[in-house]
Amino acid sequence: MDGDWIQAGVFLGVVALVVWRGSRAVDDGAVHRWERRFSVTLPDELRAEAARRLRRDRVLRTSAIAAGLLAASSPAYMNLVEPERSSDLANPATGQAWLLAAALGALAAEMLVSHIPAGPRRAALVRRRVGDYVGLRWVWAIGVLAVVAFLAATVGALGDAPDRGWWWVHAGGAVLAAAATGYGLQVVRDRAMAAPDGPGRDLDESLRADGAHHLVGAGLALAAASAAGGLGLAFHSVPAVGAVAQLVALMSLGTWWTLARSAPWSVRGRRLATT
Amino acid sequence: MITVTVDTGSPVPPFEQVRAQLAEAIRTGALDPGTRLPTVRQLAGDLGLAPNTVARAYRSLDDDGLVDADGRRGTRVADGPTPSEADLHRLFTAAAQRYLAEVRRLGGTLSDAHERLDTVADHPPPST
Repeated sequence: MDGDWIQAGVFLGVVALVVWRGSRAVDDGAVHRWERRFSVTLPDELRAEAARRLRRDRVLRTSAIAAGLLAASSPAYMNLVEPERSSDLANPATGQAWLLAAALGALAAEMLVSHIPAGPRRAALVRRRVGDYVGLRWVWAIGVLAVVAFLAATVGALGDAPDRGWWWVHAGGAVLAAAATGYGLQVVRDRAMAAPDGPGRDLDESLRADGAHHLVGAGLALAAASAAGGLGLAFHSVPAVGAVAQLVALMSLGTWWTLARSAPWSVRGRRLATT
Repeated sequence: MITVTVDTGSPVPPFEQVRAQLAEAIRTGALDPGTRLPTVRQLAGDLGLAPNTVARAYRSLDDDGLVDADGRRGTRVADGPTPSEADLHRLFTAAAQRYLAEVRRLGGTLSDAHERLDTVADHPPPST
């Protein structure tokens, strides 16, 4: 009984840690690091705006992850209330919930941005492309992983794996990863520009690139986890395949972290290089 | 950075404001031939206009031969912008005025100008 409480407490502690880390204010040092990462220099008044936007986006993303982690750890809480029903909740759907939530949170952070032009409206005559904001190789990787996940899950559903009934979780995860990434990047590219030139434009473009990296990172992790789950079903008689797929899924978590936190990117440099 | 501005308080419709500024940028060479213009959705979003308004401006530029609209591939500044009839009329008149002014400056008359034009047309100078 004590062990059950400790387990539930650890899970709740992790969720609380995620919420706390996500809701902290973005200080000057963090904004300076963010400016270096995206190769921009902002005036002081825009640094405050950048800090506000970065915190808002992070709160939305981490809140979604926290909700997903709560769902994923629900078997531990059920164990304290009705232990005999706990195993009902320990399934691939709850296990993958935090990745699903992360992808949706990254999408929500981009969708809930709106700029309503005031006064004379100006727009730069520069065509924006998804490739200005994030490496297209990651988008392709998500697409390939999603297709593999969907096909493997479908094949697995027709096989004799014991948990083949959960194939839809992996297929659904693949669809959601591709859809959230694709739609989210479209939102990033097409939403109204806050300023057509100057530092305001630099901030706007860098925030787009930041959001695109979070979207792609979460999408990659979800697609890789779905592919691992699907391949595990399709090749359940060859455990090595499932093990390698799980390893790739774990590596994708590291890639997500790097893409979201530290991968350098210059929108201006990217645009100059491709026009 | 070339920008387009829309003044919502102006009596000129937003469609015409967008069209005129793009046409000017293309004619003056500020936008090079082959330059891809923003998508209708992007420009409409940035300017706070309905997509149909920007689409109408792009269609009008396409009709004037200033841009090439190519479905999903987007809209590009035309390689050789074809001046409209009104533009041609304006350009020919300006050239004729310059020529006549030069003939008069040299002491010639209108009939001298006509005569020289006929001569040049019948015996064009060898190209260099």
